[in-house]
This record gives sequence, C-alpha cells and structure tokens, in this order.
Amino acid sequence: MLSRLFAAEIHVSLKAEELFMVGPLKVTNSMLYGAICALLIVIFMIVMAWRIKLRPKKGFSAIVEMITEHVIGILEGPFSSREKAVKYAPYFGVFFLFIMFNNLLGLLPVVGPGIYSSVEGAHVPLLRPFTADLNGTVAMAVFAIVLVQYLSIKEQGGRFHLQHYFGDKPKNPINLFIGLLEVFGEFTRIVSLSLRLFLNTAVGEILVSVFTSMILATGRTPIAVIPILLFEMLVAYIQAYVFMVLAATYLGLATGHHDSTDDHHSAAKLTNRLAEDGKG
Amino acid sequence: MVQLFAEVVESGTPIMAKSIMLGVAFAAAALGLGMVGANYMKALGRNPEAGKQANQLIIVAAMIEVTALLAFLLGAFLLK
Repeated sequence: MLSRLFAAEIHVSLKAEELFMVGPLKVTNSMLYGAICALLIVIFMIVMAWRIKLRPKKGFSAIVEMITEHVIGILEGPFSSREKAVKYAPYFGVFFLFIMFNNLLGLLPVVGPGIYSSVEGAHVPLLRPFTADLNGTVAMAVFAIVLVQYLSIKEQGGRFHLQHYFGDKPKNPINLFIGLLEVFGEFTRIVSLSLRLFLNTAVGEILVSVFTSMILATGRTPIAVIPILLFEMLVAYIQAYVFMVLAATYLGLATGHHDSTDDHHSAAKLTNRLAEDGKG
Repeated sequence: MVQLFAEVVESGTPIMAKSIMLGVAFAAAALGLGMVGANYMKALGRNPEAGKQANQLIIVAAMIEVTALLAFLLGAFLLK
C-alpha cells in the first residue's frame, strides 16, 4: 500500500509533463493541479463568505478569520499603516493563500509521483505542484509586478509613479540613469520572485521523493520522511510569506515615496510657520 | 584548495567538480544563514524592540537560501 502511494522509483523532473491537448494549448500536470487548487480555494472562500457572522463560531470560519487577521498583520509592516494594509489585503492575501494551499496540498502523496497517468506509453504523474513549475511561478511573479504597477498608479497617479523611478528632475542625466536602473530592477524582481518560489518547492519535492525512495529501497516504512515533510510545511509557509511581503514591499516603496514627500512638504510648512511666528 | 580545484578540472571528472561546487555553495549558504541568525539574536539581546522587525530577517534568509538552491539547480540538472 505504502509503496503504491509513495513511488519506490525516483521520479525527478524539473519541467512539468504534458498530459493532453485542449485545442492548441498543451495542458501540463502542473496546470491541472493549479486549476484544481484555485477552484478549491474559490469554493472554500465562497462558502466561508456565506457564513460570515459578527461573532464567528468555532470551526473553519474562525480559521479563515485567523488567516485574514494574520495577513493584515503582516501587511502592516510594509505599508506601515493598518488602513492601507486592510485596503490591500485582498490583493496580496490571494498570493499568500494560493501559494500556501499549493505548497501544502503538494505534500500529499497523491500529488507528484503518487498517481500516474499513461501518456503515449510513458508514465507521467497526474498532478504536480503549480509552484514547482517555473512557468507557473513566472506567471505569478509577472502578475504580482504588473499588479504593483497598476495599484501604484491608481494610488498616486502616473506622474508620481514615474517620479518614484526618475526623481523630481528626470532630465538630469544621473536621475535618468538611476531611473533606467530602477526600471531594469523591476525585471530582476520578476526573476528573483519566480526563481525563489520555484526552486524552494521543486527542491522540496525532490528531497521528499529521494528520501522516500532511499528508505523504501531497503524495504522499511518511510517514517524518517516525516521530519522532512514537517520542514517542507515550514518552507511552504515561509515562501508564501516571503512572496506576499516582497510584493507588498515593492508597492510600499513605490507609494511610500509619495507619502514621505507629503510629510516633507508638511514639515516644510511647519518650519515656515514656526519661522513666521518667530518673526511675528 | 586551489590545487584540488585545478586537479579536478584537469582530470575531467564532472561528478567530483559538481560535488565540490555544491559543497562550497551549501557551506557558504549555511554560514550566511548562521550569521543572519546570530546577528539577529545579538540585536534582540541588545534591543528587544527589534523583534518587531523579524519579517526582514525571513526575507534576508530567503534571499540567501536561493543562492544555494541556484547552485543545486546548476549542479544537479543544468551542468553536464
């Protein structure tokens, strides 16, 4: 039974395998898993939204409330105000929930080399964690960065958004050069966000499967994998946390500048008023 | 150490070269993570209020970790 659930032979593949075609689109096992996961989260959240009450009873609704409060608490750091954190929690909480669900459900034996599907004679795992596929993480990172740009423009306007890159005087060659570097930095952010998430999850999957097959090869029950699974649960949380906090930090940096210039103006006004009072 | 590297490169045994690469990368990442943790503990000892900024610690740790994982990717899959 165990050897059927945990495959005895090591199945290590960095790329997601193709399952079937829908028109011109190749559907891979990670896409299938990502769609199932997204559907599960949507259904779960809609059911929870129906059950919203002023005083939640024990059970799942309390857990969802705890997660929401946790996300808002984390976002208070990058935005440095609770009001903004509550405002942006739906956008960034999505990343947290999706990555967390993906990584945690990916630890189940049925995901990865658990259930096989035979495609053209070859055995291919039916499900693969969405975050263990570079295509998936790049898509998420691109979405996050585009969302940050959109929210920043919506929050402070296009002019101030460009000022975040090029400063007050964009014709100054130094400001222009720094601005171009900042724009290039947005692309490196996509690379770093996506590679970090992909490598952590993919390496975790490989680690679990290598340890399991090593122990199963000696004919013993793979109890020693449990600490690694616990470690992977920690990694799942940390990666979801890091992705969300970094995306929120990028938005906080882009919009915080505007706030700080306001503060600067108000501070200048205050000093002017004080000086006038002193003169009077 | 340098002599060892040179010998490995000359003898053309990729497994040995990859092993050394992974070993150095993981050791360096472990040292980096240790330094982050140690300095965080020192900062916490001096200034207990620093505990509120613990999220920065996790971000730095994740950034260090990804360099070791890049080496793993190169060593285990990409380099032939």
